[in-house]
Amino acid sequence: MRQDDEELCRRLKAGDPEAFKGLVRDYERPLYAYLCSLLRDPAAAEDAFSEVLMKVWKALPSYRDEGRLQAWLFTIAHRVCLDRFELAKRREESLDSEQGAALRESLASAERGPEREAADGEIRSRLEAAIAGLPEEQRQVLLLKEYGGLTFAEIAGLLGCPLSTALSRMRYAALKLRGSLEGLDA
Amino acid sequence: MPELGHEDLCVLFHAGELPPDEAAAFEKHLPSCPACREALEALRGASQAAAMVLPEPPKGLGALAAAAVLLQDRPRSLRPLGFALAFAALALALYVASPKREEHSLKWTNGIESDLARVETDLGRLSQEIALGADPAELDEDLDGLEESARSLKRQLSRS
Repeated sequence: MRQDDEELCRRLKAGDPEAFKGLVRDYERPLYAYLCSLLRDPAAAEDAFSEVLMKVWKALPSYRDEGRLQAWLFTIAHRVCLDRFELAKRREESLDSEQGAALRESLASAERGPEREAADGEIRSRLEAAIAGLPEEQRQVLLLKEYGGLTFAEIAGLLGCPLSTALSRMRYAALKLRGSLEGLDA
Repeated sequence: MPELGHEDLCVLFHAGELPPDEAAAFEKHLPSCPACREALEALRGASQAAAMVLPEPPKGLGALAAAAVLLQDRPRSLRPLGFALAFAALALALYVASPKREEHSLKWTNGIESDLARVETDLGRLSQEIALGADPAELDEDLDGLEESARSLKRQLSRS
């Protein structure tokens, strides 16, 4: 563990609010970017962001100083996302009535809101769609790497897969993105 | 590190996660391997694409969320303040009911009353600010002010 991480961990474990605020300041952007891209919903990402911080604060006293703090943070964020996916799946299954179909349509319309569509440029929209269209396992690796800044060894540990699997998922994600964006003059 | 093929090394090379000697060896391999060059180009493109669509958090999200976590956890640190306030109220009630109160100085009573009034004002302002979603930094200042008022009350009571 790096020395600055060690000092920060010591202060965080002691319940130092200033250290916690510093931690949040440092990781606000990558954490939100990861949550937003994985959940594909800014409102859900904001909610998940708060949930992650609460879990981090509560888990800090029992945090063992192994590996980088950053990897631990993103492990918690990743689990929060998985819980939400699971919950959404259960809700989806229960929304099988006519009323459920109407609600799904209204949710989809809200997501495609005209303001959002107008504000997004074509390139941005295509890039977002290309990333969103990646297979889930590849997208997770790409986002943990690009937004989380985790090493591939950390990503493999977080996802519980061999290093070579994490590496090949990243490579396939990059090649698939390239294919999806062919002809795009970015 | 386990034995990895060139295609895996390519990913580590792009991420800057290869030790210097292995990175140098991989660089030598690149000109003779179209597959690795293609993969490397795709990886660079993926990094650029991800950076271009990096979602930005709403302004103040981190500060507000951190303040919410700390405020929710605040009861632990506010507990002494609660005891101080309860103790102050009880002491004041006993003092007012005491037959010997004439012997105590009017100055001391005024001090207690003004501190209690300040605590009450601070609490009211704090509740209002939380309801209006105030800047967490301001909430912190108010909480600090509240704690200072409580400490002042305790000091006065201990002097009595």
